[in-house]
Amino acid sequence: MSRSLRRGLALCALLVASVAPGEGVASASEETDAIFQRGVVALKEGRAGEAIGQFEALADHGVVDAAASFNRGLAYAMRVREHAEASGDLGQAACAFEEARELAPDDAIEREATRAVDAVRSEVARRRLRVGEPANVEKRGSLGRSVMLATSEDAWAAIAWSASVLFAISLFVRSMTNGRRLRVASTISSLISGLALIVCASLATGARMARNEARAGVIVTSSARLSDERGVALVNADPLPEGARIEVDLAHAPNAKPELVFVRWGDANGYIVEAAARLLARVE
Amino acid sequence: MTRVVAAFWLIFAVVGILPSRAIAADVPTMRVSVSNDTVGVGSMFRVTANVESSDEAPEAPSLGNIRGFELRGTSASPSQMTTIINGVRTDRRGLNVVWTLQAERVGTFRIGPPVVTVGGKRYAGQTISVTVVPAGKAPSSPAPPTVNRFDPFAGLFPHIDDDVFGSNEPQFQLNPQLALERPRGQVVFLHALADKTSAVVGEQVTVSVLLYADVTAGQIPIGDVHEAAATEFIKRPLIADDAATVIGNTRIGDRIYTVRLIRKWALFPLKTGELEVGAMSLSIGNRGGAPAVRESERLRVHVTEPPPLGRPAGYASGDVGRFDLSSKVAPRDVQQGGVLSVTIELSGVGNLPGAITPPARAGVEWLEPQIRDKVGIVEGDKFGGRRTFEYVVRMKAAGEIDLGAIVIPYWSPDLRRYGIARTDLGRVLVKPNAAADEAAANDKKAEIFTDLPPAKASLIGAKRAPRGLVNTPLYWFGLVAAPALYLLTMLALAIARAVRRRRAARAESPEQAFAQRIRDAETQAKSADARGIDGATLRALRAATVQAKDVESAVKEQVQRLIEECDSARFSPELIDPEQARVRWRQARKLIDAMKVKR
Repeated sequence: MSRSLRRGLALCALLVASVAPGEGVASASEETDAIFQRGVVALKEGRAGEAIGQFEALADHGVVDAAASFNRGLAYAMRVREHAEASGDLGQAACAFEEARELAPDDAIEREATRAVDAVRSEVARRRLRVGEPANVEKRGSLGRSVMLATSEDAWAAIAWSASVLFAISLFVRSMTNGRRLRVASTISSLISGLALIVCASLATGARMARNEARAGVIVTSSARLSDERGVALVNADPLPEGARIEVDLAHAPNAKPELVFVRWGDANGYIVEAAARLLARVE
Repeated sequence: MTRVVAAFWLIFAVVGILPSRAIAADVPTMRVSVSNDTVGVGSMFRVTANVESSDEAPEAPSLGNIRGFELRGTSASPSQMTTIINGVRTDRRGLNVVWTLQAERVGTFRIGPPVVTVGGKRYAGQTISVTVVPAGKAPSSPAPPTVNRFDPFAGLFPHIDDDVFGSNEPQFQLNPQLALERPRGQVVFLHALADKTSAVVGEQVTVSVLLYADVTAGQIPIGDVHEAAATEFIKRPLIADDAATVIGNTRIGDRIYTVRLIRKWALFPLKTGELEVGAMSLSIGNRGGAPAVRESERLRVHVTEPPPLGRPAGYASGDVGRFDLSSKVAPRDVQQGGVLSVTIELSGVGNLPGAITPPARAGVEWLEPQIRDKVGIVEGDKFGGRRTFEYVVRMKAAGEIDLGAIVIPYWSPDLRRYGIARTDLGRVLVKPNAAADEAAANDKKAEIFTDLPPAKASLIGAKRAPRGLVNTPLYWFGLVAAPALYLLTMLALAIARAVRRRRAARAESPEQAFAQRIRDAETQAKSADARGIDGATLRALRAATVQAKDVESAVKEQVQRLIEECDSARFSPELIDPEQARVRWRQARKLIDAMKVKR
């Protein structure tokens, strides 16, 4: 093979190598755009089932987008409105709107998604009331957990940092000073800041663990009953209503039956069948 | 004469018949038979000896010469028969012995004679001749015995019954495909196998459980059957649980086993991951002991989702196989508010979806469907069939309404691509009806989700989930940096203080001062300065005096005297002699040593 021919082949290979991935990325993006647009058209023409199919296909393709989630919620809600709902449509709508709220890059979409998810939960509550069940779809967690989740993990971390610095300064001043007043003040300051350091660091760590090990999800079946790790239903535990936002603890009790996941709904917790909940998508 | 003739016949009967009865009672009868007189090399056959005796029970059977064959097993079953005719009781004892032999080489061989012992005497039967031909050249064996479908373990040991009824023994045809590396248990064991080890969610995995039983074993009771658990699969039986089929014989090690298919399931995985099919178990009777448990293998199937590339919109996980849809809508024109019937038939191979979602249209209300199934084996081992959904659809809005289409995307594992089953429901003409129109208007008032925001026209991206400070090393550094800095500062200060104190203490100690005086005096003694030497000696002595404890009074006096000498020499001009001064220093040194001053 001549040298010039070898060079030519090498150049061709380089061109193919440099062009092919770009084309792949472009075609993938075009495909997701096309699916999204087909979903939007179906939604506008009132073909809820088709729209659901398109937006679910987007999710299957791994597309995490606030607009796609929002439209998916609209499609499920539309199917309910058209009296053609399948079981779990309200939960799916609530899940999609919750997802859109979490993913929303701007406040306007977040507000719209919040309004939509409230509307869906109101419909769930109305239906529950009609069959004599409690209307609450949302539930508060325990006090400790509420405090931990009252602010973000970063806020707790920042407070812990500040407390750490104050604690060190107080101790230093206390060691260096001979004045009685300053000594008393620095002692009190060191005690308070030390306590704050321990509490805030624990809360930050707890919030981090909650974020790493638990994922937000929504119940997407008409109801889900809490059970123990063997799948035996818990006595006196309220069933989780459709559309309820839950925390799914993926790291909890690996010895549980494989089809079960540990969830928290307010102060109630236990296992439910994995298929009863849908996790909210997020961009890592 | 007549009397003479009668007496003759009587004598003849007594002399002729009685001895023969006596002989018949003494000598046992033995019938020897062979299942096949022509066998192939490696084939198994059986030699049966049936011994009957009216005296003692036959025992200790032995086949005798078996050159050219290998004995693979022996089973003996004793029997006893009592008959009473006209008040006369007759007892007969029997022994049925079956020897299982395997032909080793080509040729014609004589087997036997078999020998039994009756009442301490040994009796031999006849020898038999068997021709051994090369493997596969022997005449074909009869078909395997039929199985009673209501008895899953019937026919498990067919030769036992055959022996009892004296039927001809079939030669074993071996199927090497059923062979295993080694038996999984003694006499009887279970073996489970799946047709694939990886599948996608919803794809059929065919699992069979085979029962292997040693052909030479006696009849063994089997019970306490525990089915294999497959909680992560939808399980559909492909054969009835009470049906068991002999699928062949095989050799494992040095034994021949009859193999029966006792279970066959189509399993459809419900989720991804390493899914397990549990073990099937049963217990077999153990003569004189507790039942032994036999368990099949646990199988694992690696389950994934079908590829995302090319996945059609609306594909539901688990819809795997090959589906077809057809529909019937009647009537095609109705009054507004009236109903029509829509029948949708879903057929194909695979686990047919249990529900379909009708197309949502404004003014069309789909009521709950009636579902009818006709599913089972459709192609070979494939599970499938037909599922019919019968809907009643209420037409609330007037006009020509397109009912839309039913679409079920599926993944075909055979073709390795997605397919779409689709049926168009077509259009329906709905004639206006004032009453229904009013009802529809009322329905509209009660409509929900009327004020939802509009759909988004384009993708807008997503907010990234915060990574979190706590996950970063910076957080932990920031948390401990200030207290650590404080601790380090305090430590440094403490160390500095300690060093300072130590230095000061060492500088001021009497020991240090005394040692310094000694060193000064030694240095001074080397000089020619007599006053300097005396002065240094004096300081050393004084320091020694301060340091010394429990000094003898004589030494004290000598020290005092030397001090005075040094003192006077320092200030006396005539005594300025360096040599004298050195002598005083040496004396002082001796005294200091005598005082044993600690340095």
